[in-house]
Amino acid sequence: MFKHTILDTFLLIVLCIIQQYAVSRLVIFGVFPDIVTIYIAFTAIRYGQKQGTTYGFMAGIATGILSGSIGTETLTKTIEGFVAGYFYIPEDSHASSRQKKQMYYKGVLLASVIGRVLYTLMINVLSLPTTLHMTYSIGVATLLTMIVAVFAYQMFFKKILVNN
Amino acid sequence: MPNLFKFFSNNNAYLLLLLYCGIAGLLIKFEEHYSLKSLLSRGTEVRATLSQGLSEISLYINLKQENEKLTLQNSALLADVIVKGNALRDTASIDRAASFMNNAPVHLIPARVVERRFDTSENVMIIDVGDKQGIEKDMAVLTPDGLVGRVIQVSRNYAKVMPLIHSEFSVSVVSDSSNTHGILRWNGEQEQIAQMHYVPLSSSMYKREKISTADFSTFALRGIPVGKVIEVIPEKQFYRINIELGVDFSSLTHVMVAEKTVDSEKVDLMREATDTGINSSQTDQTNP
Repeated sequence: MFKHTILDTFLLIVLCIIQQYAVSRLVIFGVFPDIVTIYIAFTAIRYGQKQGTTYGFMAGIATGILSGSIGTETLTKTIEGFVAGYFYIPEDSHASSRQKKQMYYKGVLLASVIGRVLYTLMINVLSLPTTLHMTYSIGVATLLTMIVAVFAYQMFFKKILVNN
Repeated sequence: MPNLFKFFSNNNAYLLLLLYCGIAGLLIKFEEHYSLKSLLSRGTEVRATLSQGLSEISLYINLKQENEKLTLQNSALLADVIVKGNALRDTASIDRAASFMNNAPVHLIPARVVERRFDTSENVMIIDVGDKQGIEKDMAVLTPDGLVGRVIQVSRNYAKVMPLIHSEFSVSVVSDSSNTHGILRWNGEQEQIAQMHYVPLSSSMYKREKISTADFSTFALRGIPVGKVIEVIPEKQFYRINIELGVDFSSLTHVMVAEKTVDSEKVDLMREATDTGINSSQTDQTNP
C-alpha cells in the first residue's frame, strides 16, 4: 500500500508538470483537456473517496505552485477527488468490466464538470463571463477531458480496474 | 464521546473534505502573504526553468523548419538586393552616359545592352536601338570609359555589335604621348587585355601610355579612349604591346552609338587599297 502511495504521488506530480507544460499548450477552441482531473478521478474510483480527496488536495497544491493560483487549484482538485469518490469500486466488488468502465467514465465526467464550474466561477469571480460563454468553455473542456479519458482507459486504466 | 467517535468514523470523508477545503480557503485568503508569495515565486522559477528547457528542446526540434524559413528569407533578401543593385548600377551608368553625351562633340545615341554572348572568340552583343533610331552598320559603339565595338548588323529596333574583344575586330589606334600608331586586336585570351600590332621597334612606347582611336579608323571617331599600355615586348620587327582595355565588358549595361562621321569616300578608297594589296601594315581585312 505504501509503495502504491509513493508511486501514485510521484505519478501525480509528474502529471501535474505535464499538464502545466505540455497539455495546457494543446489549446483547442480556447480550452484544453485536464489529465490531472482524470488521474484524481481514477485514484478516487480505485481507492475510495478519502484517498481521492487527499490525492486531489495534493494535486491541487502541486498544480497551484506551478500555476500561481494555489488556493483555487487546491479547492477545485480536492472537490474533484471527493465527487469522483462516489464512484468508488471496492476491491471485493462483483461489478462487471462494463460496469467498472461506466463508473470510471461517470466519475471522470462528474469530477471534470464540477471542477471546471468551480474553477470558472472562482477565477472569474469579479468578471463573470456570459452564461453562454461559461457553458461553452465548460462543455468543450469536459468533452476534451473525456476524449483523453477514453484513451487513458483503453491504454492504462482498463487493465488495472478490471483486475482490481 | 463514543457517539462523537462514531460520527467521525462514519463521516471521515466529509471531515477530510472540510479540512482540505478549509486549508484551501486559507490558501486563497493568504495568497498575498509573504511566505506563500515566496513559495509561489519559487514555483514560478521552477516553471520558468522548465519552460526554458522545453523551449530549447522545441527550438532544436524545429531547427530544420527554422533553417528552411531563413533560407527562404535570405533568398527573398538576395533577390531584393540584386534588383536594387541593378537599379542603382543602371542609374549610375545612365547618369554617366548622359553627362558624357552632353559634352561629346558628336551626336551620340544611348542604348542598352539587351543580350550578349561571350565565349572564347565569337563575342557578340545586341543593343536595343536599330534602324528606327538612326543606327547604321559600322557605327562606333562606346561608353565614357572607352570604345566598345562597332555595329555589324542592324534590324528595325535592334543592332548587333561586334565588341572589341572579338577575334575579327581591329581598329587603328594611337598613343597619346609618343603619338605612335598601330592596330588593336584581341587574341582571344584575357578579356581585359588586347594587343597593339604593327608598332615598329624604332617607335618609342612606354608603359601607362593612354591609347585612343586614330584618325585612320574607318568607323571610329578620333580620340575615343581604348585603354592603356601595360606591357611592351620587342619582337623581330615590331613591338608586341599589351593594352589594358578601359571598358569592363563583364559589367556593360548601357552604351552609346556614335553617329557616323567618317567619310564614305575615304572608306572606299581604303578598301580599294586593301584589295590591290597596297596596304599591308596599317590596315587589315576588317577595315580598322
